[in-house]
Amino acid sequence: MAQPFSFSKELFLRIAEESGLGTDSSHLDSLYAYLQGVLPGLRTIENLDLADAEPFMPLLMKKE
Amino acid sequence: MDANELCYLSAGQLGRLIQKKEVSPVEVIEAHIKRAESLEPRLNSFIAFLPEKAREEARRAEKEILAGRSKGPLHGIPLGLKDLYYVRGIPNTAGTKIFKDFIPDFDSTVAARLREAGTILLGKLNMHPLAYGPTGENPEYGHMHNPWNTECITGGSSGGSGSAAASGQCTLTMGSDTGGSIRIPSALCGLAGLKPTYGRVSRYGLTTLAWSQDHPGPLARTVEDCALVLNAIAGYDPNDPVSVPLPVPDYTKALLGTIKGLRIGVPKEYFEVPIDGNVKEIVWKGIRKLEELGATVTEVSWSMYPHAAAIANTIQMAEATAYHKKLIKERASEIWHPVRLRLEAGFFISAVDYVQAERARALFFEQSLELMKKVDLLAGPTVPVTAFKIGTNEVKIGNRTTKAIPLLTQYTRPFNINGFPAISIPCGFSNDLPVGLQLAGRPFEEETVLRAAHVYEQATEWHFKRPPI
Repeated sequence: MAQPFSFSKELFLRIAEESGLGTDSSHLDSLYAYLQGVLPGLRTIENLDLADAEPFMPLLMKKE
Repeated sequence: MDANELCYLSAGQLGRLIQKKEVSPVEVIEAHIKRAESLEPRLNSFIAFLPEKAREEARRAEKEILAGRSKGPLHGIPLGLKDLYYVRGIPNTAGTKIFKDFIPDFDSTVAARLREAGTILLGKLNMHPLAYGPTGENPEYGHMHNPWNTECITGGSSGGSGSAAASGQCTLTMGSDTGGSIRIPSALCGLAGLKPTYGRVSRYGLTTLAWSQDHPGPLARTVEDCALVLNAIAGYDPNDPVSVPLPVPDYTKALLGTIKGLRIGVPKEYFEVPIDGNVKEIVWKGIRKLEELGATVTEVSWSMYPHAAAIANTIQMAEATAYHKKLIKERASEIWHPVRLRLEAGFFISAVDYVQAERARALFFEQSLELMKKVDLLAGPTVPVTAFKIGTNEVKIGNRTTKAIPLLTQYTRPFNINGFPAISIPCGFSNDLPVGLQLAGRPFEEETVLRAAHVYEQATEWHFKRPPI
């Protein structure tokens, strides 16, 4: 099972700074709120058993 | 013929009249220019409207056809391109004024092939900014309006393509589909919209949203028109690294068959997610109609379907942010806020998240192929609701309130990550707004998808309905 989602404001601010997303605090607050809504839904991938899976390679889909 | 009647003929019908010299391309283009000029203030379908260029091309087409130099069934047919298809010498905004001065010096492969086929470009069409959203809202160039109810969204991101084709401003339009951006506006505007197999149609010269999920394709008023466009645009292109060197069949021939014995699967998981009750009933009627027409319909299980959104979103967020990284760094404040948030959110997807999503995608692809050994097509809704009011963030379904954006893409995204061909066709109306039926097939089996869609279309009358505009 996936761990409960946690994404601290401190970690958020560090990545935002490293990514050059500026210092406008009201914008950063809205981005943080947006991420809090979006990221938990993406974590469901952690529920899948990926042990035997290699990354998808669309170039190999079909070439005859 | 009455000018408005000309505007509602399909490309197949118009092409036959033009080839028989019963209608002139000049007459056709004039009718469409007049209609676009009258509707544009209410619909906002175009970013660049090009009447003079279209008139010039129409005069040339007329001369060529009269001289016996026809380019085929699309010669003289009015076309609109979503404003992310490069056309040499014409600005390519991708739906944002940030790029208003960007003028490509070459044609996208699709634009070049459609020109070679003789279509006449009426203009570049409005779209959700950077194609990053499924509603068709755009405060910079004005929101796109649904011809069935102008207070409602068109769906997106190819919203201008949806409204222009549904309102008879263009006979054919082209969209692009990364999470449903052809099929969603097709469903909400009452059109046939085809997302071909990944690799079947070149992406060369299109503004990217997410490389591994972007698919170019047509929106039109009939399935035959989608087949005619696919005939013109499909096929290997060395300029696109994922273009597939397979022969291109004549897709219009596929329309001639029946669907007797065709095996159609309906994933039970489709009805375990939020869906409007009327839409569900209308889609099931559509599926039962396919059964009446000779297909066998069975319920199937697609256990990975609930993971499709997470897989697709993780990959799309990382790819879109990577593609637009420079733009975000330099001009973020100019990007429409909801799109800016989506783009900046991609910085918070780690490399490990991305690779895990690609591993999950491989499993999803394998399971999709396994599923398609048992059936020839998957059928279900394209969108779980009809078009809602512009500016809506949440939609109420029964007693439950759901976020509008993930709702719009819940049935379309799976086919962006497995790359399978999928079409949306109109299958009814709820409260005077169109409902779409989605049919998806095996990779590179567009013929089966088109044949089933055409057989259904010909047995029903939804495609004859016109919006009250």
